[in-house]
Amino acid sequence: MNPGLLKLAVVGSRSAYGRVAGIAGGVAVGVCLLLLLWGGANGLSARDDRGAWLRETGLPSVAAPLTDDPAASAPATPVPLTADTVLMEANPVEVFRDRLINRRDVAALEATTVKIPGIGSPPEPGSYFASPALQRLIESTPRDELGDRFGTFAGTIDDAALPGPDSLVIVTGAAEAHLRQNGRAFLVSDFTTNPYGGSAAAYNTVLSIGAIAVFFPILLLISIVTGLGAAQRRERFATLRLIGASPQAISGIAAVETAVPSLIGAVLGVVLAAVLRPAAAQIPVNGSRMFAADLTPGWAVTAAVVAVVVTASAFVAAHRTAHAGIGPLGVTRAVHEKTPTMWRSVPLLAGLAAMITAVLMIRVMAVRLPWLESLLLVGGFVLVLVGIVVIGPWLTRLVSRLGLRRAQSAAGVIAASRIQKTPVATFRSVSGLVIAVFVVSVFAGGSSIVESTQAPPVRPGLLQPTSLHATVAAGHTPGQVADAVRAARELPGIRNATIGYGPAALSERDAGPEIYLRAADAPGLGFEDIPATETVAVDSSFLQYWTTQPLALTPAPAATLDGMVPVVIVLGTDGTPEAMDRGRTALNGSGVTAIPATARLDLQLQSSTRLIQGLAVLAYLGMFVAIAIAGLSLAVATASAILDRKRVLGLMRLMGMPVSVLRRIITREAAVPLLTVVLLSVGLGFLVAWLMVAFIDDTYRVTWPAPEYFLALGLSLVLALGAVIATFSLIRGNTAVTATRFE
Amino acid sequence: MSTTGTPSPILSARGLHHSFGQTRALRGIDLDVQRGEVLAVMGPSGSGKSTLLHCLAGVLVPDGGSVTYRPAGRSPMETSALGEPKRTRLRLTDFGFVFQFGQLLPELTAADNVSLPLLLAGTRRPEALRRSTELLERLGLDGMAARLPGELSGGQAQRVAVARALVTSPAVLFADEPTGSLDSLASENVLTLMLELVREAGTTVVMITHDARTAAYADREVIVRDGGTGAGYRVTA
Amino acid sequence: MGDNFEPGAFIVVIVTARSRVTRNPKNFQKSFQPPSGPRSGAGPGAEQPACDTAGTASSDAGIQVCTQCIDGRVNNSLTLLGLLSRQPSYGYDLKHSYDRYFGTGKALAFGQVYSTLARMVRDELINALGGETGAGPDRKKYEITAAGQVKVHEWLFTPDVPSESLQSNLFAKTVIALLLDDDADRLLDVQRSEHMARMRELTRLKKDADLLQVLMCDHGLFHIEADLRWIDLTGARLAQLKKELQST
Repeated sequence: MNPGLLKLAVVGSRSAYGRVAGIAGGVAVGVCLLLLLWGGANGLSARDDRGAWLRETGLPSVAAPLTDDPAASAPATPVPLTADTVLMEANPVEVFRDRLINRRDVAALEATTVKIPGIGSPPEPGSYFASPALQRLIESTPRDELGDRFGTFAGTIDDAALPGPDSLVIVTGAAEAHLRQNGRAFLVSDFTTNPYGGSAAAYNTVLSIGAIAVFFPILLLISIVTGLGAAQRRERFATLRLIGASPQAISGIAAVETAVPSLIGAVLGVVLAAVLRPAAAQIPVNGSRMFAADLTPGWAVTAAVVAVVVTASAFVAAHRTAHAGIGPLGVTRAVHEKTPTMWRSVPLLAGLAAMITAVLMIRVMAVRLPWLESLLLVGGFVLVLVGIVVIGPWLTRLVSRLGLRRAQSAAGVIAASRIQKTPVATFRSVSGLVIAVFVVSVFAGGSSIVESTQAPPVRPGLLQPTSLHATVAAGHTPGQVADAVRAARELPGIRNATIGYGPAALSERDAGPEIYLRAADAPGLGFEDIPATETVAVDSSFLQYWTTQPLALTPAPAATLDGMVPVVIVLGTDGTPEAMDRGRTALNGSGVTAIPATARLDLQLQSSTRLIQGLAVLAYLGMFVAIAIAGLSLAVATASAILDRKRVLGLMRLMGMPVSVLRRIITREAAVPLLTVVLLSVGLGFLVAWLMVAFIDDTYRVTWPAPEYFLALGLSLVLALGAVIATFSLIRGNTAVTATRFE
Repeated sequence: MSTTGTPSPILSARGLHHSFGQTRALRGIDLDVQRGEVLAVMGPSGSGKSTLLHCLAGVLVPDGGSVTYRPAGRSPMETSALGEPKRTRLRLTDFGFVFQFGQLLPELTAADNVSLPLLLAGTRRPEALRRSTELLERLGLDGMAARLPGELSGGQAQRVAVARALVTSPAVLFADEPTGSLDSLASENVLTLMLELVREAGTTVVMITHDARTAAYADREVIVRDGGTGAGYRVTA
Repeated sequence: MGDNFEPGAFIVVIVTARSRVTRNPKNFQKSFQPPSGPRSGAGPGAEQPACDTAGTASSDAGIQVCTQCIDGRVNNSLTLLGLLSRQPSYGYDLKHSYDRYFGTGKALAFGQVYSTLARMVRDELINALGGETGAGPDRKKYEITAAGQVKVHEWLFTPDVPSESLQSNLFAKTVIALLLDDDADRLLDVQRSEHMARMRELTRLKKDADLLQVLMCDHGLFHIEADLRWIDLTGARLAQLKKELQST
């Protein structure tokens, strides 16, 4: 191709520079976000890989010989500790303030060969290894609130065994006998490297869907900016055709003149991503920030992203130009769009069908085919995304046809006619926003599972949220327990301490269904309706967090407590985090507890919805990105809708059409396609979310979305309004009398 | 230079000056447009014809001088002193415009294009469409009401533009090279039909043209040269 | 063969043709009467024999065109008078001035110059300056009279009736006006108005005419338009033309 001709085509005029800047800027933002998100997704997975060892569940530390009679099993015998195993216990409710600490108590033989990730040899009893973040926390907190729980500091856990810089992980050394007390310890000889256990396929599927959902709006943005100034370019290409350039040459020029600014933009995006990486790493995902290194996607990926973006934009530009029908005499009449037909609903329906099939296969079929299910689900999701963009113009056209018939105002007639004749172009300007709304709805539906766990009610007959309870391990005398309780009661912020009794420790086989306590202690537990006896009893489900119906006290014979053992300690606190943590430290450090001190809300911190929660954070990030990009695209598309029609709108104004009517036209042209498809997007979003959630686990339910969702939805609409209003300033200037001159 | 004689010209310009940046488009034009006359404004390109028309029609406010419009049955007004909303309204209700090309909205049917000024003025759509279709028929466009501008010939499109300009029964029709992109026969067709309607309604016409054969349809011509009106025009009946 | 064009010639020719074709010749003829506007521009030329159409007619076409008129003849006597009004000159010099400005390809014969001068002396538009009274005409110096000056001015600023043959005469008038440092712009404007008036007239005639009449009106319109274009272009070139003429 003649370089002179190319130069003429690329830097033809001052408006060409604006176009180049627009494309480069848009692509830069797009590539930067792509790289950061890619890094983020990789980072999440790297993080999960590093934290995989914490999921090791080991082998039972007791063996129960099989007997013929299942009802009468033989007494369990401990499996002895050997040099190639350690005895380990995970504390499920090691809580500080509102954060869960990943605690492992380890007992090992002197000669053990087991290496604990990030530490090496297991710590001596009474000492601990902590992650740097936790160690900082221990050092900055009064010992009676946190430090006393663990013993003495032996060293920090290496970053290689920590999910993120904010991870709270601790490994404490313990005596073998101590760990064997409650039977929850397990034997570990090797640590797993599979972070997801059995749900790896589901996790990957959901993660890829999330990634696609976030990347799609970015691709739309890149596609929209490369179409900037299309009308002016068509004219220039027509001139080139007139002086003898072939259609192929024109397509080539279009490709190059888009590729050059795309390349500039992509390189800028790479630089921008590198600059923003430390800042992006500060965004907490699932309670922990990322290591900046986790966000670095690597040179191969960076180069691939740049290459794909540049090639794709060049190809799209060439393709669009080739199909614009530019002859030597220019495109004198508006490019005739093919009328969208019902066929446009096919991809969407196919996508939904694929997703539903996947879920049905899981629920109904006996044989599992995970690869096919994942393929159907991910493929279906992509089809639904594409399907919304494809079906949009058809629906828009249907609505506008209805609107044109009913239109009474000039603005209505003009907007409806324009939409009806160019539904594809009109819909393109809002496609970003529609997709964003869909994505947000999917994420909101997905994360509504998390939101659906409600805070327990505070009412008499239920365990108070400000109280802590710990079960007592077998083999402790009432005196030992009473000492521990007395010590705890002395602490500031602790209001009362109650001991519950039973026939045997709750972990023993002989434990009864009820807990007995002194009636004098009952008010401290929040009971109001107290029987007039000295001793009362309550069902032991009182201690379970899932109990939501108030329980009643029943009178018990006065002498019942004699001969019973303490089974549970309940501390009432003033509800301040300091008091709660002091209580926990005191109880757990007393050495008499089996299940450590627990508050009612603690279990939510370690809920099994971890996966969805992680995604929900990604989702809100994705929502932000998608909405911001969509707003930007709408502004860009609306602006070019004005610029492309400069002359005719200018003449209309000259004829006596007020600027306000022009504003109304522009607003309607954005509002009609948006409102037409937005409801569909919302509905589909929740349907897809439900399908995905059902795919992961049938115990999850999709419920009413969080207020953040409505905030996001409102934000999208406000942004759309803002984007359209922002282009209003263009209307007056670009449709002034001067716009109608010098044709 | 002004025409004398008729007592109340419908439009009078006095001492019009206007510049675009460094370019002085108008330098001291005086002009009277008589009620009901068809006036051709001629002159070489760049002489300021369009600027003069834009000033007369209240599209532009001249840098200097005044334009007075005297509507029948209403008090005269100095349009060059009105604000943009009032001038916009005046253009909509009292003036009609025809341009060389590209004035029809490509997505609207001929009838919708014509009915736009009526809709803007508050007429209900069925009524606006009825009047538009009627006017299109009078311009020889029977059965073309539902066509898009892209489906019409140049002459037909120009006739639609004429219909749109006249549908509100304006007092003054401003035409800027109305036949500039048409061949001789199509021009003649458009002009004849336009002037027939105009003369019937007593509409005043100010028509820019560089084409003498087009100007010959007018009652008289003024020549704009370097932003001023030429000496050699006179009124003919 | 007449030296001067006859302004009515073109119209006369058409009328001749039409009388055979139109169904309503009377009406048409009436409408085609030469305009009653100023025609004195023909001045002395009016006395000259009309343009001879013999041998140039194409009777088959039904329309006869005066080819000689298209050829275009300058009103010689007035042009000579105009040249004389610059300064007194000998007949010999006058002929050469004339040839230089207007005689391209068709020089003026001496006999014609002298007979014209003699006629103008007779009409008291010029005076022969004394000199050798017995000598031949080429030895005489001529000078324009006041009446001659008026005649020239009248000629310059009276528009000609538009017709195909106009250009040459208008050209002569423009050149003379520039040579005399008179207002050539005004001359062109006056002529433009006359042309436009004639075009309006023809356009009006087209309105209710049948197709053949329309065709003929169009013929006239296009020719007059050609003149108008020449007028416009010349108007745009006046300053340059003046510089060129005055430098020679």
